[in-house]
Amino acid sequence: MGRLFNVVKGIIFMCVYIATTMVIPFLTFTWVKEVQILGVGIVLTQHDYDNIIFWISAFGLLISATAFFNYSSPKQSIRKGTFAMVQIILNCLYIWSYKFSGATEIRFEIVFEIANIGFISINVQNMVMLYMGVYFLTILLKGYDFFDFLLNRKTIREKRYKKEVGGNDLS
Amino acid sequence: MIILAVDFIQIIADIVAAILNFLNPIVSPMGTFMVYWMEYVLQFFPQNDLIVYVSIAIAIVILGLIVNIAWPGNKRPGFLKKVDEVEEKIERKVEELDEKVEAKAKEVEDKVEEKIAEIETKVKKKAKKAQKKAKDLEKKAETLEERAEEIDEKIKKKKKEKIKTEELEEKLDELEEKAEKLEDLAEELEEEAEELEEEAEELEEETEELEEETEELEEKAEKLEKEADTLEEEIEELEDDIDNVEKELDKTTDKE
Repeated sequence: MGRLFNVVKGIIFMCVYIATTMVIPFLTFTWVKEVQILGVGIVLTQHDYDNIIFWISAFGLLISATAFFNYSSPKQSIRKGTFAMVQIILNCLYIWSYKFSGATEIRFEIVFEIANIGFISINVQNMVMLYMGVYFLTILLKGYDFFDFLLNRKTIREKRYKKEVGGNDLS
Repeated sequence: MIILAVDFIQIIADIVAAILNFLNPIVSPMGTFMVYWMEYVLQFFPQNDLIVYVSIAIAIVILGLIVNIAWPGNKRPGFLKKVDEVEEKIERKVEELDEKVEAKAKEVEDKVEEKIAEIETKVKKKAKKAQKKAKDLEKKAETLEERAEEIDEKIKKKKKEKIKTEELEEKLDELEEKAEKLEDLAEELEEEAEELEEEAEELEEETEELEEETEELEEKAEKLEKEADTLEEEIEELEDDIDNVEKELDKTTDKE
């Protein structure tokens, strides 16, 4: 694999992560903020809307940047293993930032014209906890990958370059 | 529509709740651990300052660009380069050796072909000779077979003779044993004859002695007869004397 291929691959995945961790959540929360169903306006009343957007943007940027580094690195390399693990940890923080910002207990108030009819509250804390458990297992897996890449570096490199015997050496 | 949507959400909520209830005892402790350390870590993250995160993200991207352009993973490691060099050298040597081997093989093949031609001619000649020899050998073999048959017959005869000689030998042995026994008997008889002769001699000597003794005894007997005669005469005289004495005694007794 060449330099250009790696960079292009990194950019593509960075774009994917920007879309999934920043753009889509941003649009969702913005849409939810002033959604109307059958003329009844559901207003996102939480005070920390800006806070949510801040944390989404902050961790989304970090995740996208690490995703670029991760996916532009060669396969089974130590840097790829390192940044994959960092990315997973940042993902955990990103998910938890929803709770931190109050997004795990979303309260929608139903406002009809001027009168406040009532509210809908969604508590997704348990789901987030479950998601965190799954992420814990993912971190273990990535940690195993990292140590595998680190300990078997020589054999991995031998295998990688055996495939390219007689091929390109771009050094 | 709202009612339908609420029903749909309710179904999804039930499914999610079932999954959560099932996985909750396994995954929740892990989640609480994660929450614990994440809450601790998040304290160090700056709040309300997006520039820091943007700058960190840009730094990571630039670093990724530099690192992955500089080391794209195509460069062969040092130890593999050395291996390549060694392999190239080996390949070269192998090629050289192959060329040498091919040249030598050609030379050897030419020589072999020449030798094969020579050998073929020789073989043909030898084959002819061998055929002649074979015929001769066949004849010889026939004569040898005949001889062998004769020899076999002779051997059989000799075997029979041997058996006979063995029997004769056995008989001879027996006769020898008998002769030995007879010799022993003859010796014993000779010894006995000698002993008898000795005994006869002894007896002769004894007879001579006896004769001598008889003569002496005869002489003594004659002497004794003479003495007996004399004694008889004396006895007669004595008897006469006794009669005379008795007569005188009677006379004396009568006188008294």
